Amino acid sequence: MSETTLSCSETVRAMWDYVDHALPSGLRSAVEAHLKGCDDCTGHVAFARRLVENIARAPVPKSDIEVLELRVRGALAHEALSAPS
Amino acid sequence: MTTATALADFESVMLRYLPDVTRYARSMAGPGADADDVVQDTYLDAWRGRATFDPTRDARKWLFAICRHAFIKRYRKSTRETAVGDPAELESHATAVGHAAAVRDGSAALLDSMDLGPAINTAMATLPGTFREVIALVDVGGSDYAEAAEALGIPVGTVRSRLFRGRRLLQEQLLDYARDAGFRMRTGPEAS
Repeated sequence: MSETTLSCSETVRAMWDYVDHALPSGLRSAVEAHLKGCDDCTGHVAFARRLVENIARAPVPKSDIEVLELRVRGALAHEALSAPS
Repeated sequence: MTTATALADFESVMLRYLPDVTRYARSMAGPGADADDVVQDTYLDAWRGRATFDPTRDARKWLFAICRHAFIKRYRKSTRETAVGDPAELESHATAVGHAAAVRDGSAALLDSMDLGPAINTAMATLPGTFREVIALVDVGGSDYAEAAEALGIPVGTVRSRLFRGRRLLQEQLLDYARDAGFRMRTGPEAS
């Protein structure tokens, strides 16, 4: 069976689905085959991955978490002790 | 089990996800929304609904689902909205075109060398809510397209369109941020 060959335009149209692991296996293989021989598209995909990774890891300052934890613990204690069990 | 013991057990399991829930709430919250209030609501609702939690399931995702409902409840935000019409693949293509331009003008290389965290938080706050909530679900919350579609009550195609458009808008803002930073580096601190 011959493998599907993608152009650069077709590859970048599938880029986000590829980064999100949402492509069917045949198309995923075709994207990977294109990326092996195309530095431009490989660069686009690397940039897209980095963007998503940075969104997922956007920092929450530790001091914010410490203050928020105190606040949440206080609210939970108030809720638990004032509500009928 | 006493209430105090139950509360201690609940806190030991659920509070370890406080940074994740906070990040998720902040990614959903735009101007005028207090994400920390939503985080507190989330934990109170989780405590009240603790009997429905299945310990074999992912506690983090359970908290994210509660957080989303808490956000909607507090800000009376509709979960069902009309679809935007942009084909998702064109957004994906436009992202690559934007990156190619950034490679040519050098801003992509600048971006690679920068800590993007603060810029992403700022850029997320300026996104329209329909794009922000999909990014919060998929990129921050780890939902797949189908899970996000179910949570929002919209088709998977609309999730993809909004997600890809939102990411492209973030990309544009981050590249602008890199260009500004590059300009300041070239012109010295007195120019900023």
